[in-house]
Amino acid sequence: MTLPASQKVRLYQSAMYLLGALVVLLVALFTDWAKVQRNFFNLDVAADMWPNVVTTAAINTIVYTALSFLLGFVLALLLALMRLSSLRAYRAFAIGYIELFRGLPALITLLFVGYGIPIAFGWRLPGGTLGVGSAGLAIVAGAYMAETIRAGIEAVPRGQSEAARSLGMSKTRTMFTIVLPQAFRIIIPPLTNELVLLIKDTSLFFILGSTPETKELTKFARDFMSSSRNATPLTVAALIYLIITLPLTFLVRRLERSAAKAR
Amino acid sequence: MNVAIDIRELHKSFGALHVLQGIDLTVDSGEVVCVLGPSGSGKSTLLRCLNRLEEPDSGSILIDGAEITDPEADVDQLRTMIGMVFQQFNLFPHLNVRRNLTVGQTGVLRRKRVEADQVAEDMLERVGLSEKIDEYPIRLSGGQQQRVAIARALSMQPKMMLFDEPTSALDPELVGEVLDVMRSLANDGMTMMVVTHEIGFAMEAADRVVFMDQGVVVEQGPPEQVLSDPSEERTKQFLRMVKDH
Repeated sequence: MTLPASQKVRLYQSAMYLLGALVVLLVALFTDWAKVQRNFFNLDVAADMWPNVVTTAAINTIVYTALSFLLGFVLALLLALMRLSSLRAYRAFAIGYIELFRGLPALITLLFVGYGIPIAFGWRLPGGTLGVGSAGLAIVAGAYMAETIRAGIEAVPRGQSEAARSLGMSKTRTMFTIVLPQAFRIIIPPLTNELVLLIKDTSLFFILGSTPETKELTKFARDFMSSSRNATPLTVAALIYLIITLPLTFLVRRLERSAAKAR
Repeated sequence: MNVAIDIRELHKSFGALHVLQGIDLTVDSGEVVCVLGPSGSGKSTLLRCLNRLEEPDSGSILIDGAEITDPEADVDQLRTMIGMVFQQFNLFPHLNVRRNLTVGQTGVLRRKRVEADQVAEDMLERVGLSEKIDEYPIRLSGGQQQRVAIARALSMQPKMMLFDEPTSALDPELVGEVLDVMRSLANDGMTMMVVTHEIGFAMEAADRVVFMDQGVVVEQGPPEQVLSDPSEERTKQFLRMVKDH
């Protein structure tokens, strides 16, 4: 006996629902919910973290991210302009830099900056964890953002710079007053994505060592987990990360949609 | 009469394509020259060589007596004397109309803000769009955008104006307003070189019509002669094709 196509689809969907429900049921039955609650959602432990988890850890995460982003952006702009330079040596340097630091784990770069340089030269970047870590992340972020900025510059129609040049503007003036402002509008969404990636990458700062004042969210949660022998601090940290990143990703989606509309 | 544009033995290739094959052409000060020809004849390339948006391969171009093709020439400075209007308008979309008209004046000519604003207002009035001064380009129709683009070029108070198919991207009903502005410019004595397909405009506004094909000037002369009684077969053929449409 053959069933009509529409009934076949309905039968298949019902079977899939049933399977899914079964899996959920089994997980629910065999999980020790009390243990989960005690170890991941322990309100007493969470309360102990207050207020330092926000006033120190979350603030540090935000400050580290902001400085990394700022330094990385300046570096990226420089690299993007070099990448588009008419001088072959500048182009080659930019390409080499971008490929190098996009090819390395961020952790390696952080280790180079945080330990390699002091070992080699007996000199440490100023600013402690903030200075060293942000410089390290900026080096990496600069490589990624340089490609984003370059793509933005190339997305501005040629006619724009031709019109500017025909008014007598120099190459540099054309770039800064006509091309870059339009390029930045185009790349706000991908740059915001870059910012979200950076927020998460600041969790690597643990490798640089820290004092109670310089801990960011992940390090703070990890230490609190050790001392309280409970995993709740991780949950709290995760929630705070989401509170910071979700609005940003939401913003990106809105910006992308309005940019698509403007075209 | 002064020679505004003096083109000698101009050659330009794109790869294997020899687009300009030895152009000799002069435009007198105050003269309106329309350049006609089939697409691919090199007329836009010729225009774009005049302010070196395209680099000529050989030959020379004198702008108001100064050689812009000289490697030592101050191209940026010479460009301020040459207004250019593009097929796609190329207004700066991130700047409002006022800033579109002043960004070159303040940045390149170093005019004071007040003076630049005054010039911008005068030029906008000239193209009949004074009320649009605070709008952004995207809010304007194609015809209005092109008129603003003309005003932007005029704001630099250039000695001559180049028009690269200024009405080709416009809906038919918007062509007239742009041609009107160009006609009044011509009447005011502006030196103009216009690459166009508008035979009617060439007929009434041009002092001279230049017909180009395959990288050379085929013939030139007063519009009534070139357009009504051409001597070259290629010109006749082109005019037949254009008029059939």
